[in-house]
Amino acid sequence: MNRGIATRNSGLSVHIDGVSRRYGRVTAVADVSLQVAAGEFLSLLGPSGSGKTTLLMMLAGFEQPDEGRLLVGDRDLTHVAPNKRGIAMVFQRYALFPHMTVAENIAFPLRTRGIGRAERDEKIRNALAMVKLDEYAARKPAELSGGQQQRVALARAIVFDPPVILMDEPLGALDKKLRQHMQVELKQLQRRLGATVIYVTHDQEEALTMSDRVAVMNHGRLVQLGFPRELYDRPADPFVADFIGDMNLLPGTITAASGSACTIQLDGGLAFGIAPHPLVAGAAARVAIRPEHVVLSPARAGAPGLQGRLTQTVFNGGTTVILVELPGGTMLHASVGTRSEQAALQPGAPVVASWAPDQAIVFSGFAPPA
Amino acid sequence: MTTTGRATAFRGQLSLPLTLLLIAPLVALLAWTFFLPIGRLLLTSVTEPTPSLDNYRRLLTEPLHLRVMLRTLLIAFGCTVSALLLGYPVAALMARPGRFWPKLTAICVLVPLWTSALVRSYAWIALIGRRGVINTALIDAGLIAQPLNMLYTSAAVLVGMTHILLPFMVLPIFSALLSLPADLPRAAANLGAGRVRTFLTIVLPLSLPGVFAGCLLVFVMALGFYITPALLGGPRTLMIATLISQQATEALDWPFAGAISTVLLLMSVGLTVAFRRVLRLDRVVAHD
Ligand SMILES: Nc1ncnc2c1ncn2[C@@H]1O[C@H](COP(=O)(O)OP(=O)(O)O)[C@@H](O)[C@H]1O
Ligand SMILES: [Mg+2]
Repeated sequence: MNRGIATRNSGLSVHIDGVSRRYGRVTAVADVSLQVAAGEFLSLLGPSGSGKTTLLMMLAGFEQPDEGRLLVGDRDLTHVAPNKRGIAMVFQRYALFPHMTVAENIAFPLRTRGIGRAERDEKIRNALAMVKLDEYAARKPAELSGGQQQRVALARAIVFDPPVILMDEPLGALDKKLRQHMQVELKQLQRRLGATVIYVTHDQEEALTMSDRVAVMNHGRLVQLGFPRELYDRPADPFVADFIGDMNLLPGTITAASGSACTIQLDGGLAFGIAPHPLVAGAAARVAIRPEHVVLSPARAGAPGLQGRLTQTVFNGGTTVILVELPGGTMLHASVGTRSEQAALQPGAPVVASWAPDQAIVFSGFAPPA
Repeated sequence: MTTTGRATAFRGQLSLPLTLLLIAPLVALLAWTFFLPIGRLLLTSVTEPTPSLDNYRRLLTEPLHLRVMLRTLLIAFGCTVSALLLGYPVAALMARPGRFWPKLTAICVLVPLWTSALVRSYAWIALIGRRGVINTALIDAGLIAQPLNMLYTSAAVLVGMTHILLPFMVLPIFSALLSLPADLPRAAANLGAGRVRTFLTIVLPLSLPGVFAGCLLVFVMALGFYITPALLGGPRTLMIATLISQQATEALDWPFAGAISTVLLLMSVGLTVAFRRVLRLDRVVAHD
């Protein structure tokens, strides 16, 4: 019963090997190397201008790398024309052909491949069913909503069974509710197709929820590649720590270090943490601690931790965020259960903040507060 | 957004009385110097020498005049076709990404527009006349013994008019190509289309509004073109505008000149209306 694209063969691996691209003095992509497994859903995550689109354009063949190679499966695509690459791309603004109907748009990649009428119609029907647009075959793109146009773009990209699908912020133009809905559908569709997906987004939540692995980019460089959990729990540098999820980054000075465990003097007291790179006493450093890992208690004389004063509680639904001002003026965020004792603390109350040492990551190389 | 969408942004910003006041001077000037004399000329075509349609009967039954009208239509059509064939690639070059070539092309298209058609027609005489640049060069090179007859032929009129009308073809096509999102040809390539297929199935259909606008402009302007056919054409390449001028200034038959003018006007307006129909149909495919 499941004929056509529903039972397609699986995706191909993608190998990005030392790729760079410069525009004049701007280095858009700087020596990026990355292996994407066949059938994997990999997100390229980074702020605007970090080189995500440029990297995707090079994979699609619209930009030439200055250095490096691009392989799909074991085929070197570096110098292959865009129309000969056989990998699909979903554009941010959909790029539907406005003078063609939905069905004609989806037929386009089949025509270029010389697929006959009967097979074409069958594949178009299947693709439309996959994106739940069966009724809309005869419409023009202008007669569809943004979400529907997005689905047509998707159908057009999957209809020719591409082993790799590139997506450049495909949900960026949709409102939040629709975006979350499409995230789930996209992910299910990818699982069913088995295609390799490289997905560009600047939305870290989207990247964490959808991806098998996430590649974080900044200033054209690949700063960390890992599973979503890894990025969240073990960010490799302060940029990733700050970019993914909510994070306190507190400046201080190392007072003692043995192996990766270290003690650090912060605004308001001594704290503990784990350093990914060896540090020496006296070095400037920053402690990264998630708000949900901060333990707050009413101040008691001699209690270990950072002494501070509660300034504000922000109700957030299931959780409440508590803002604590440390003596030097540094702000610390703590996230607690809305029904917990801490959430009942009043502004102005003196509090002590602490955490389990293995929850805090210590990064070097930052000037301590004056 | 289409240009129509942009045009509406300013709509309704000025009150109606103010709008009328602002256009009043122009309307008065046009009424006094343009519509009134033209209206009177056209009117004489049915009132003089006697109130009848005799002038029109004469125009439509004399083979000489019919031939002039047919020739005018043919030359205008030829101009349109050659301007389209020559102009589309130029517009495409102008709309390319990058700086150098688009800028250079734009200059080459626009600068002649600032030179009078009279000067440019004389330039053609200097070029293709019996003792013109081309004949002299060919004779000096020993390629021909006698000068070629190029001037005062239909071909000379066609070439000269195409040259002068070319910018009016290039600019609307350029504008249509410029408003084509760069993602569309890229999407086509990504989906497996080569350059030719991308052009034929995506770029060309989406630039058709510009093509239609350019063709209409060139055709209508060519219908009533005066200077170039008068200078580059001979007695056997008489066109409508020249005929009108002859009737008015040599034969002093103003009513008949008025009749010819009316026919020319009707042809131009009729064509514009017909083209607008096509153009409106095309709006349906207008891209975001
Ligand atoms: N065609 C181009 N010409 C010049 N600079 C460009 C071009 N494309 C991208 N850049 C620059 O390269 C950098 C990366 O851009 P881009 O890949 O679009 O980032 P992202 O998609 O992550 O927002 C930016 O600084 C951008 O200005
Ligand atoms: Mg981008």
